[in-house]
Amino acid sequence: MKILVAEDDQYIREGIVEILQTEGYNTIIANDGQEAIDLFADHKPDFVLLDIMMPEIDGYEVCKRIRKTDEHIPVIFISAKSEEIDKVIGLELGADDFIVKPFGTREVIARIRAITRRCLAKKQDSVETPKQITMKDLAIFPNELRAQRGGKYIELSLRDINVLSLLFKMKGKVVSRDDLFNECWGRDYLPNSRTLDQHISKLRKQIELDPKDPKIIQTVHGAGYRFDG
Amino acid sequence: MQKRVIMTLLVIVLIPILLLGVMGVRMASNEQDVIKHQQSALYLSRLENVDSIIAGYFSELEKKILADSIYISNDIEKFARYIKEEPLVKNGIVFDADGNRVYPQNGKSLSNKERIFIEKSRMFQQEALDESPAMEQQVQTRRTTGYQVSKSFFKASPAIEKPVKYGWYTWFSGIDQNHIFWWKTNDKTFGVELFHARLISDIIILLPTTTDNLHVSKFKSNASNLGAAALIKLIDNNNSVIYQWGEYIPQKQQKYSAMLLLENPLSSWKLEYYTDKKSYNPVFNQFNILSVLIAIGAILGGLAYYLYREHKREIILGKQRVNFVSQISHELKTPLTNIRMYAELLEDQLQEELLHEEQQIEEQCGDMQSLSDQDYDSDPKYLKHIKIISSESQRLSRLIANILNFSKSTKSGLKIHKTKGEIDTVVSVVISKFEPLLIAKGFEFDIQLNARNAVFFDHDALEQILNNLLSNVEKYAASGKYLSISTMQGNEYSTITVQDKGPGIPASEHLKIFRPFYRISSRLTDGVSGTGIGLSIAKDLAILHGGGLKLVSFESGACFRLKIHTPENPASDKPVSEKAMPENAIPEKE
Repeated sequence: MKILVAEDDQYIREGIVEILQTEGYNTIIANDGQEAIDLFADHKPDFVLLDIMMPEIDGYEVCKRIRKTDEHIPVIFISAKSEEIDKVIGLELGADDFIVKPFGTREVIARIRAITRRCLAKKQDSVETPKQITMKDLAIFPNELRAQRGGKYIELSLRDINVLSLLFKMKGKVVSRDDLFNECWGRDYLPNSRTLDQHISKLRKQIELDPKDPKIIQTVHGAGYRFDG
Repeated sequence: MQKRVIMTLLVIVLIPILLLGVMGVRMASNEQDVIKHQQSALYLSRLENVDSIIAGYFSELEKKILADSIYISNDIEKFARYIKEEPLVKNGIVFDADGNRVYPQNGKSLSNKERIFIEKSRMFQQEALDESPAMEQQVQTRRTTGYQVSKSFFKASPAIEKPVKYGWYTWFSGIDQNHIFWWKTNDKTFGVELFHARLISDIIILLPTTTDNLHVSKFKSNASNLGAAALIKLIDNNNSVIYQWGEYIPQKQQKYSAMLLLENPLSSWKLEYYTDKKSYNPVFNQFNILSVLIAIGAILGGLAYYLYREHKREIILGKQRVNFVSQISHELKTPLTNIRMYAELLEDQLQEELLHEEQQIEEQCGDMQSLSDQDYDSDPKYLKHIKIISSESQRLSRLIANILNFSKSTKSGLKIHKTKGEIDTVVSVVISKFEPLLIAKGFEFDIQLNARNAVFFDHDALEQILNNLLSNVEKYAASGKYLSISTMQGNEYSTITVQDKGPGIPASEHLKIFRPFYRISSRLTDGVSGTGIGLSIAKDLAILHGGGLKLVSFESGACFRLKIHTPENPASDKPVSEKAMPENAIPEKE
């Protein structure tokens, strides 16, 4: 999934991009409003993160222009103002959500996931992704970015879903680290075994009953990972 | 606010001016009366001066005739000669004690002049014999004297017979005035008729030609207008002006400013004093009062304007300060976002790495004791440090949110924006934020969440209220090491109770703690940082949310009960007013 991030503050922009990439999104980066409009036309992202206070063209105006070409594109505003008026204007323009500064990573993740679920739910009919996949005692709902064990829900990132989907698709076979990288991180992403391993460790902690004795994601030493089915 | 200040200043300016005005007018009218009184006293004294000249003349005349009478009283021949030769005397008459006329002699044939006189003076003859009061009253002291005695008709001769009584007798025959000076010796009554015209002309010669020399010095000092031109008229019994002097020309039918009736023998004559009436009005004084009032008014007005300007500037400055603080707070948000976001990113990364290492160690070393279940205290130090950075940046975020909300509430008022959600979700989020901090301080938790229905409420407002309440628990009730949070959902309202076992809040402070900038001063709060606006904002938000926040009595520690209006659909999103729905509508559960 592609997300356009338009934010004039370099560090905030880079921080958000890092969060989004960790979550498993492709990001398109714009430094100001005009660039955002141009990049939107070129890349057709799935949704847009817009800072309101930007030089030249502000977030509201960018939102108006984007909405002219794509009526339903989800837009999340990033704002330093929590003033009522901002929210009202934003909602009039059809903003889907607000991230109010100062925000933390968890807030960004929660809001992005919420929007992603909406996007995926809309796409559900057209795309071939199954509604539910079952790995051992874990029921995974890819479009909901969620898994369920017993009565308990487990929140997952887009990347988690992609990794699990790939392993499920290649059930019983070893998925090499390179394949995992290419499929789930993208070809542009510089392969780093540590990144992959750390992600798998984190995912195991979330979905495995005992992360020290993984049943869903098994390590195949020297080759990669495998889901036995 | 602004209007009240203007009204107050107007009152402050107008009341002294009005009081001064009334006092000034009264003083002026008093002064006017005094001046009028002084003026009429002055005019009268001037007329008295004139009168004393006339009286002096008559007094001298009396002396002269009396001096002469000594020589002529016992010799009719001498008297007859006196009558003929004294230029002042026109006619003479003498009676003896029995009323018989001695001169002009009865038997002798009378001259025409004598006959007319006797005829004319019949009244005098009658009254002189009867010793009527009209004759008695003539003996009196003169008002003023002071003239040189004119030369006596008789130069020498010793006194032989002094008059016992003397006086003037005046009467009218037609429009003519007749004057008789009379005196009585032991056996005779003498009367001499004087030439009226001669008397008048003598008097006129004595009278001044201008009014200037009549000014009396003692009035000059305090009545500067008394030097005004004046006119004095001498008016006779027929109301015709005999003589007048002075520069002032009175208008037609102008009334005199002062009048004095003359004494005998000109008893039906009068002196009238004319001067410009306008000079009565102390215009100068009224002008003085007015100018003083204007001056005081200008000074007070200037002061009031100055105060108003100062006040306005204070207000503008206050607004600017609030704006400045809010501007700064906005500016703080971006760097704060970066600190918080990167601290959290770092925390996540470190945790991931730690986790990864643990799992690798696990894979390698089989059944080594689990490390992952360890609590925060046994985290590596760098992870603990980064957690402090991230929790402190969250604290800073709450502080900024409080400042902005406060400046908003003073500027345009807070607003509530309700969206659908679960109360418990927000409560859990807030608890999870404080959990690490409180666990580090050794807190025990008792959390009972029973508000899972999806209702409409302002997530941010609820979060901020809880932030402020929990932040207080963390700051002031750490000694209790206990936090209880419970949520309940009613039909239209939700209640959240936050309770600690800290030192609590004295009963006297129960209401004060909700005031802006109020902080309880005690050993407990000394040294604990705080702005004093947290509870004030929390309460404002709660009220705005159609509910309230109050401190309920609790055996130990503090217990805050928050109630907010949480309708199940936005259509009924009209908070019942506080009066209609008192805070204790939800039964208190202790």
